[in-house]
Amino acid sequence: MKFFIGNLPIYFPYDKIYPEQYSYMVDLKKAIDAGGHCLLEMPSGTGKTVSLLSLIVAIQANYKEKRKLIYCSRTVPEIEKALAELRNLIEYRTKCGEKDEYLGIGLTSRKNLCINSSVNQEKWGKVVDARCRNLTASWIREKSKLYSPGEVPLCNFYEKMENDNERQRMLIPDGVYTLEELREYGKEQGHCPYYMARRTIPFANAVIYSYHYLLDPKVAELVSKELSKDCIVVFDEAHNIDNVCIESLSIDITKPNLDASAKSIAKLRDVIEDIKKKDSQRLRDEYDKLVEGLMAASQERDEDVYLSNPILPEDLSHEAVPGNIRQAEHFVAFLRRFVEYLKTRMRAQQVVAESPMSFLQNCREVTLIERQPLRFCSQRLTSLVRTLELSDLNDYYALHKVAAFATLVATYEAGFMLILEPFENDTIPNPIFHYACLDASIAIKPIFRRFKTVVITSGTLSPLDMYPKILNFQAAVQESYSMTLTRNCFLPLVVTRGSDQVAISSKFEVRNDPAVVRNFGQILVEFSKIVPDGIVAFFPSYLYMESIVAMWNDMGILNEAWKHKLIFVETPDAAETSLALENYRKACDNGRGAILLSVARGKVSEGIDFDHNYGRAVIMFGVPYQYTESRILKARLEFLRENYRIRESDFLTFDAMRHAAQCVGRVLRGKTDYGLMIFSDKRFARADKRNKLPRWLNQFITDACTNLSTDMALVTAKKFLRTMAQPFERDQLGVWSVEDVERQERSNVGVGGRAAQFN
Amino acid sequence: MTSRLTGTKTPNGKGFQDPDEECPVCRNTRYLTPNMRLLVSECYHKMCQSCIDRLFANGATECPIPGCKKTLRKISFVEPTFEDLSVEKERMNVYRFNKRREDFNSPKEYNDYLEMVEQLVWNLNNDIDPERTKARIESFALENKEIIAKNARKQSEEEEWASRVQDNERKKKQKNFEEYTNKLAEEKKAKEAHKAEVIELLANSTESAKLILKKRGIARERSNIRSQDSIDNDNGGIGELWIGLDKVSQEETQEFDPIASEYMDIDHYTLKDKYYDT
Repeated sequence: MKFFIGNLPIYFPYDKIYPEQYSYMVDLKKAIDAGGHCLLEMPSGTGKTVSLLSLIVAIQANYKEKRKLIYCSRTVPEIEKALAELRNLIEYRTKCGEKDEYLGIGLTSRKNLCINSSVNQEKWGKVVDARCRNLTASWIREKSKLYSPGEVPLCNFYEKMENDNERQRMLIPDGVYTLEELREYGKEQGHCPYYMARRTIPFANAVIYSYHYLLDPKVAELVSKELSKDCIVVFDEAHNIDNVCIESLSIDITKPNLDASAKSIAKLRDVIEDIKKKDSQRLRDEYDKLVEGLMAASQERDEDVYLSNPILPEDLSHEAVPGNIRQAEHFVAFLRRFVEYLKTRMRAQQVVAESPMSFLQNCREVTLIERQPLRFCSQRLTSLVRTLELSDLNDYYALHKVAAFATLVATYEAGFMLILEPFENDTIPNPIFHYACLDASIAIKPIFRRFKTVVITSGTLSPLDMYPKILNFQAAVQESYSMTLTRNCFLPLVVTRGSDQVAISSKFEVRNDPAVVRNFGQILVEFSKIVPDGIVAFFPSYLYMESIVAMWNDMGILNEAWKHKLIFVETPDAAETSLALENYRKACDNGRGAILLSVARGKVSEGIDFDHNYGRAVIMFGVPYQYTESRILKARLEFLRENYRIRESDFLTFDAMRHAAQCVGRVLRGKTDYGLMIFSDKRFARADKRNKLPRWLNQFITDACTNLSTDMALVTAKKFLRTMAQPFERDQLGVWSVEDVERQERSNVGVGGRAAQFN
Repeated sequence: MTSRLTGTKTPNGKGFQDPDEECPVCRNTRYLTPNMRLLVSECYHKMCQSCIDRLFANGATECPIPGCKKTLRKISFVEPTFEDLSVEKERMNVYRFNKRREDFNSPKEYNDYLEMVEQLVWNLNNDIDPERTKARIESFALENKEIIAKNARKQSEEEEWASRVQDNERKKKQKNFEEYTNKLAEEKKAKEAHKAEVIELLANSTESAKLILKKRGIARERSNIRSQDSIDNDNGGIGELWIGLDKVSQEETQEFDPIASEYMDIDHYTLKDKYYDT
């Protein structure tokens, strides 16, 4: 259908639209017109992506300045879904007679895109990257020209692309390509899909990729450098964005890392000796370049860049490289000194927490290493690696990490903390140096500064004022939408006590209490009796899940549940979990029904949907608080308290509730779906927890359902399931046709007009 | 991996150590003698405490490592800071070169200087042209005697300053934390008091329960708003840290010091006791 918002014609690829989709678009348009950032919360499964895309594509088509869309999502399937949605929309627009020349492209790692059969068999993404580089680096291609063809292995797809590229500029015709289609197209043309995608980014109208390509300075520098200021940046599923920001600037160094780097240093030294004898000119050239400080100006082809700087572009120093690391051998000696220094630090007996400043101070006292050369470490290492034309870069991984660590330590002061933990679980000596970023706003600041409009959206962003605080930005529009439903298709229940009236909670003091564990078990057993098909249960942690499942086994609860449904368990191992998931789905499809025991914050809770029969009920056992004894978390809480005045308990609750909302949100992936959401912990009944849940969820939590015992919850649930089992008549309540939208638009204009008169 | 699991904690408090480490003189390994102490000599050779005790019991002798003819004394052995002894050696050589960026006119000169230092250290370490290198180091030390002394002083002052700043920060944090916990405790107390009050009222008052709850609820919200105190950004205390740290800067520069100004005598106006007219 086609309708107008203001005077912007919008094509929407479906006949009907939900009111919240409409208001979402209106708000989004407001934010984009105002040129500000916005924070929008709308339940997933209600067409968030499509409303977002139809509005932005309409803006791109009708506004004078051609703004590019950068859409960031979390996982590969989500990227794929967004691309499919975009293609659908563009097809619809073409059908309606709009002639847009539209190029939409997705980007993911080489591992997912590579079509070279000798490379893409590798299991690890890092290895694929290294192998690819061995085939496509410029000096290897140079070298191959000297030898007869076939002697130096090259990537055929890359070569063909390069050849064709010289003849015609455009690599790929207009259209929207999903990742799979991109691979297909690459195979057809004999072109490398990965580099094809990367090179088309400057020409594309829409780019869909993962957060890291924009947030992580290590990759952003390579991929997203050329994006202009007026791009519209969207972060979808952004409820974890603060953690992504923090991770992108944090580094952990272990003892094995240091040993490996010491080995790599020795190796580098040998290579340098070797080259000095054979081809000293090469080192001299590099040296001259460094003396001139041409580092930044040197033209590098992106294929050659192996390690990029871990710090943000705006913090990059443009001074000349310090004199004491200009010579290759001096730099290697310097690195060795630094690694040795870290080794001495690792010998500490107790936990050390210090600021980067005091670390540098100590480093200078012990080794006389100054701050400036440390800052240049990773840049200098990149240059050295390129000069030496090293292959098998996987071997230098640890050294790169150390160099990145050095650069980060010497660049940032505020908002970071160094934590040395000498023991694992306080007993096994396994020293780890954490360089922890505590301030999520540091990594995202350049994004907010560089782009006019940044849209942060997700199904769970409540409480909305938390994100602007921890990311340190001002939102022009900040909105949470309720959900219009034709029937109450989900039922949240807060179970606070078992049938025996014992309060249940995953609080540390009581969580292994047999009465609590039995009551948790009873909830599982009783619901497995009445709920059809799949049940998903979430625990706060793997550790707790293990201990509880063991206890259930002893109590015979598992046997009891077994009578009704099969039981599957999520483990930290990804392959094992996907096998469990597959069989879980099979059991649900067969009508046998199944229970999946999984962990909040795990893989299942984040990316996997349990729509329709795959999830008819989701049970939260306990509040998914983080492990509060973690030193990094403690440091972060302290930082938030000192700098943003966010209370520790507030942040912890906020974090726990957003994960709880994510977990229960898994079960409802659309309006025809239905499901039970059972919060079993007495703490969920408290108002301070509940008001941190998203609005669309909160609107259906009635007072009658907030303080139930297991048997009361069962009665309510039975009634609910019986109603839901009735044939579903799709009435026109809650969905709008074109006429409704137009009426709404008129009334909006009316209101606006009247307001204008008053002014 | 194995070393990780078997790594031992030694009594001298050095934490994790490699069990395969051995004394090059007696071939004793840490695996067999967990509290073996390896010390390092002037000529950068490692040996264990018991070997040193044995060899140097009767005063100075030659270094037991083949090829090294240096005469050593027991007293000259020190605990090494680094595992890799060449780094230890480098460090001993480099400490005299403490010129700073301020001592040079352009960044290029400074960088050239840094490179020169690094080259000297590299030569010493790899025994390239040792005599000339040593002579150059000596001449450098002689030429720049004053600068070196001054920078050494500066350095120690800076360290002092840094440690003071850190102390100050720690204290501030501590204070904030105390305030925060106090506030939490107060709030908890207020909440409990409020609850007790409501129960008291419910038990004794003649008003309807609904009315009481409503009234009390409003009262509490109000007190909550009041208790949200203003943020006091107290950056004070930094000024005091300067005391006793401006020796060098006073010596060489007579520039205006904004922080010192608060201690200067004020002479261009006088303070009266009162400012009333009449």
